[in-house]
Amino acid sequence: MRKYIALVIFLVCAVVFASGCVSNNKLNDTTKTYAQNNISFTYPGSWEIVNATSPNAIVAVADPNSVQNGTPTTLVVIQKPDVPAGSDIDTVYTSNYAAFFNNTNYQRISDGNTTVNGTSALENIYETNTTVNPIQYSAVWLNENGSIYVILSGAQVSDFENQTSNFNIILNSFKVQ
Amino acid sequence: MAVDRVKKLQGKEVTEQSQEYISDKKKEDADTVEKDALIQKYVTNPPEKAVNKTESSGLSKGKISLLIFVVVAFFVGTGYGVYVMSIPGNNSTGSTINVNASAFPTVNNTTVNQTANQTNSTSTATAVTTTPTTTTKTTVTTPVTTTKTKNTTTKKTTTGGSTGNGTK
Repeated sequence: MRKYIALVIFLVCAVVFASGCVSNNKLNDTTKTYAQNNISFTYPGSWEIVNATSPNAIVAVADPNSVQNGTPTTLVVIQKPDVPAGSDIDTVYTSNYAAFFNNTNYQRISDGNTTVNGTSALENIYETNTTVNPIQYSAVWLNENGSIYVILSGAQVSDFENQTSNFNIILNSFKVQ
Repeated sequence: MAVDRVKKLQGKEVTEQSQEYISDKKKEDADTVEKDALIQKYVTNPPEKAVNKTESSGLSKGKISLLIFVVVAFFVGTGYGVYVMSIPGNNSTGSTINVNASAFPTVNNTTVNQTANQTNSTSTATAVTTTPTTTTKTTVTTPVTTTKTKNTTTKKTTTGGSTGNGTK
């Protein structure tokens, strides 16, 4: 009889500890899924889908806790350049950044090839030249099914490394349907 | 004794007791008195304990306390978990956040504001930042014309509306 009582107490303790193991960290481990406009990806559970006013943007997600002056500093925007299907990604990429860095508001940090889900891609990392809260961006250019997609990830320079894992959740789950 | 029984069976009252019976009775009474004396001398009753003693249910006080703690902890932990899990739903502010970050260069379109005058003609070009998608804006402003005549002042003002045309 005593063995059964001890077993019941042990099981109740296990349930209690399991129910108490809900914290913010656990919450951050959860993810949400976006599947619209012929693309799908997962993103951190604490982030939200936001209104993308960027040109040719398909969707944007951001961390609502990073909002400053109405604009989030930690965000990911997925864009599709306005070029004909089947365009050469290298050509489009090169011409894009030839014009992009004419804008002195941006400073190039690195530029090169990368791999996303086993697919070769192009990556351009740059940051804003603003003195207050400069933002670092990473633009990954993918060629999926003959169409070019750009996944632009951004965060404050001081926080960019911390957000890399969140950016990778989106990058590694991005699929064109 | 046998005589007494016979008398009882015959329905007669027995009034006299035999000497043997009387002696046995006395001896028995003496033993009883002696036993009571010994009991009062050597046997003492324990003091009565508190009346509010609960009946033992098979669990010690420590186990009951532990069980109560576990039950309370269960409800506290569950309540806290539900409270924390409901936070994201309350903070859903996605519809009010705008993002304008772009991987594409901003295109500098030129919008020409032409101001014509009978005597002066100025043309200014203002560079405005627009989205990289092709956007054409045409703004035409008809100048204000003022005509003054001697003695009588006639102020004729014509203000033309500006026409904006955006093509995306």
